[in-house]
Amino acid sequence: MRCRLTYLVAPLPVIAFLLLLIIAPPEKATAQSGWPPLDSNCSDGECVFGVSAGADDAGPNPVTSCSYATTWNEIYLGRCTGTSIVSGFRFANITLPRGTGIAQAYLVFTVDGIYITPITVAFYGENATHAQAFSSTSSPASRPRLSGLSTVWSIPSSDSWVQGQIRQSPDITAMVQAIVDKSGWQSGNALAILVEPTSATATGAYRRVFAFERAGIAYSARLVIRTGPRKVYLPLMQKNYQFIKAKSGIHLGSGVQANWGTLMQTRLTGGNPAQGIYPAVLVVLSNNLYTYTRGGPACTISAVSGVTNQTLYDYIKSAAQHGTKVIVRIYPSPGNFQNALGAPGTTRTLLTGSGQRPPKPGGGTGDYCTPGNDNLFRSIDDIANEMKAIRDYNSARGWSVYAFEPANEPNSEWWPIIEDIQVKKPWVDMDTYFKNLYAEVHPGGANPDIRVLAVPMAQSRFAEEKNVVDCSAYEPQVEGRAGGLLWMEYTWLETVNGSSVNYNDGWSWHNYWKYGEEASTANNACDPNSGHNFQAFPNSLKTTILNSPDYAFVTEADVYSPCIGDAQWMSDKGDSSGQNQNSVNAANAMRVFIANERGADYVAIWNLTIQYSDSLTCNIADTNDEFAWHEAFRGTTSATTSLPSNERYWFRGWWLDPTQP
Amino acid sequence: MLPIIHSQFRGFAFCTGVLLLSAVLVACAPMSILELEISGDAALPAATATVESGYPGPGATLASPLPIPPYNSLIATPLPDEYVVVGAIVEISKPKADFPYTYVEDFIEKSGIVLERVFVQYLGREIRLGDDYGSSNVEAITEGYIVWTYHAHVDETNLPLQSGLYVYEVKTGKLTRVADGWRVGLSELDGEWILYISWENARTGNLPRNDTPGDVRPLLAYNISTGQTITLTTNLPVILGRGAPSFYGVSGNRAGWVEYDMQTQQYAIKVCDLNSGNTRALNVPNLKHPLFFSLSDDLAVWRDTYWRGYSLTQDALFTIPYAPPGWENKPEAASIVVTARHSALEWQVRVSDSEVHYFSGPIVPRGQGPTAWETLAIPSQQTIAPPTPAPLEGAPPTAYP
Repeated sequence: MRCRLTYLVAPLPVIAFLLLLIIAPPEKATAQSGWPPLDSNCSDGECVFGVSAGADDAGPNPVTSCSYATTWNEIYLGRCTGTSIVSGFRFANITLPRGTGIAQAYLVFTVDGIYITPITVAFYGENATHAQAFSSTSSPASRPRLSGLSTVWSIPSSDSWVQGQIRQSPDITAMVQAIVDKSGWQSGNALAILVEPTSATATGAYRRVFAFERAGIAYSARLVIRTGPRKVYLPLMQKNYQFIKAKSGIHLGSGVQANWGTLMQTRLTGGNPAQGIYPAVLVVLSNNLYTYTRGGPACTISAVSGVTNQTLYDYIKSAAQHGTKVIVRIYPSPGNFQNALGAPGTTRTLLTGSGQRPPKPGGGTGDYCTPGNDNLFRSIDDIANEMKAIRDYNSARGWSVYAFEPANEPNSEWWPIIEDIQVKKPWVDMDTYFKNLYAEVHPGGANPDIRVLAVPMAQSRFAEEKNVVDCSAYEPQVEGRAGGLLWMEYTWLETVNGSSVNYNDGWSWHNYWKYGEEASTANNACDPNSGHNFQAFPNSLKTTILNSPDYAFVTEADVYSPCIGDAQWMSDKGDSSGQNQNSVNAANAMRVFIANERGADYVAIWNLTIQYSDSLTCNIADTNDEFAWHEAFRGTTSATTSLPSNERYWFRGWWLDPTQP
Repeated sequence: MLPIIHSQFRGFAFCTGVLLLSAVLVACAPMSILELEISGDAALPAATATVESGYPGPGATLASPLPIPPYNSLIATPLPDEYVVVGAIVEISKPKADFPYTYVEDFIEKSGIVLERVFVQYLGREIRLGDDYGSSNVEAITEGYIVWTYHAHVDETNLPLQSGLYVYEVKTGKLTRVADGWRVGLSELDGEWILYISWENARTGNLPRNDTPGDVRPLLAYNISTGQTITLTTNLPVILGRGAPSFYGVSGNRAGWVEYDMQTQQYAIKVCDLNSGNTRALNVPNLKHPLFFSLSDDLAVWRDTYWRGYSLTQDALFTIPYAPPGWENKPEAASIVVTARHSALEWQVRVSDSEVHYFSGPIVPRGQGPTAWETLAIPSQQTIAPPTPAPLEGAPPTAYP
């Protein structure tokens, strides 16, 4: 009676709510647990394909007397009354050359529900070099199967399926590898995976997943492929084996090109889980890895001339080929201010046009022919050239970075005095600069393989909606908007006057937190006891990021150091010379924080190694001490341990923990 | 996606006024109001270091639970001897000013430079504040005046306008430069007085992240009628994440501000009669981190762990509810801002980018009418639970069948 009364009183809200439930895309929480964005580019080590047509998934429908069709809204798994359900999923245009090594492959489904019926099904690969779409005369049951290759998926009653949730199949690497290895296979062909119940599935027991017809490719089945060494080489290491982190990574720091060492490489290489694991994400400064050729009248970047450290470069390439997402932060990236060279009459005005460079004191326009000028200014064409040069250099060597960060914390590095960014103009300036940079990289849609992330901002400097320190509002606001990001309509919000625009290929931000604030809120609301910066973002931006197919990265993260005044409960992170409670506390802080990060898909801890200082204590006037506090590898080898290098205990305890995603 | 407001109008800057005398604050009873909604199973595995290596091996963890730094709750209840209290709180519509003019701000890209423009419409005419040689930005307005900044983008030696802080009298069209340079402004305006700061020679560098001032700035007052400039203090605190204007306010002929002595590391709240120049520190003991200062007529408000008010006419310090009725236990409570406006208190509750609720409450002598405290659902004192890691997989909505 109460329900009916509610319905009569407020039917529209109820209907609207139900519609919202029906059409709302999966929450990021589920995305975090495995909903991969479509990505047909396999050259960076990972690609994701979706069922992209109605006839690419098909099977019987137990609700309609187990009648077969290609047009059902759902694909059933299990058994009709007395009859097996044989279903199929076809993935077109698989961009893998014949013989590509498959390190991992699996399917991901948007499931329907509520279902609690236990079922057990087996996956098979269709024995074809170019699987055809299903039809009324060519059902999944009629397709030939690869012999000797199947994967069983047992779904217990305890695994309750609820509409909109995501489920990942068991590994189907072997069958995908077999198909790609077939003599007639070529890049761009289609493959199909067939599913049928095993004898363990009771009659009439079934569940169902979203078909293409239900809500399009956004929710249809997906095939995730990671390229790399064939699994045949790793058969005995599968148990509890963590080859690559799913979410965790590290920023390599600014000393890596000089200090890259064997132990660092071991720790960040999968193969022996007691020794190392590939990171899910690596962040590296561009000038720590590449050197450039400059040319033309202004000596802008024309090509990568070489690398700073070949061993480091080879490692990063290998990591990318094993699935690590490599983020290159353009550095230096000091902005492009009119007064950068101190010419008389110039002001601190940001130049946002292509080819614009600041005037020189003696007349003429600044250029990059003078060494070090790129530390003073960078025009957007020069940064775009750098990205393209890196892409070309890597491409010629068989790999690609995942994305670029165009600058670092411009709300701090470009406007170091905090009053400067309490008005809207700098935010609009930055938005315009990075919008124009994105357009410079992608003229007419060119260079789609170069991903440019939204630039990471410094925390608590008026970017977010709230000050994450205590979730208080910025008061006053940034001229009528709660935070500066709300003025960055093109490159951060991607919404201008209510219309969507595309000026980033994902987001990056930084996240330093106070020790003890590793947990996060279930609904992403800002909470003073949580240090997750995402929670301080504007609600509209949270929604955009959570629903976007683009990834979001925390490219710097760590516990606050006492060097900057807020490290209650953790005076230091432990030395290299021995394990102590601080080391263990720090390792756990990393673990818990990353596990609880809900806004970003990947988290990179800052940092692997820098140099200059190895101080355990903080002199607030010496920023090198601040850097040293965060390092995983100190600059000098410990004299009090027999360990082969200067690795800090917190890093190893965190990184080698196989429970860490 | 929630809509983003694309108003071309800057939020109206209202001035505030202060009055106060001295009073003694005893202790309020803090209570936690927010409890992390975190649970889950990423629980820390048992702590055991691998003996042979000396490292904390995989799975190593704390010997004790993660300590949780105490969050300074915003809740406090009035002390028995507070003889001024907050009256009944009511929701109000968004405060707005009905001025005889309007203005529009926009941005255009011109020759690779973003130009911010200001246009004032008055009596059917449109007047531009500034020109194409620089960017203009409105900082504060009243019925009679517009305070704005101008930043030249080119050599300004021979320009009609030089970079600086300006006041425009709408009725007469009179334009006066208040201060020179790029780094002046963040103004407050009321009556004939403009409060602003200067950071032209500010040093750069990291600021502490714990509400400790990392620097100080001068706060100045400019009288529009006389052209007189007064330096109110050289010790206005600079704190990461705290807007400069949240440390000062002006109302009529009175200015108030928060002051910090970098040597003694002591705060003070001061008010100044701008006509006489008399300045006095309010007798508020135990100032820790006063933030969000505002002033309106005879009322000063700030947050120092808890929200405080001070009645200048009553010379009385009093406690302010951190949230209006109905919002006490909602997540938005942490970001509620209380300000002094028209001698009353105003709470701003921001729910989303487009949804903000406003509440107002008077200041009344104790025992003379209902108080806000009688209607508030203040939770009993509780201890904040240590956060247990949350499960990564949220429960999505269910609408099936």
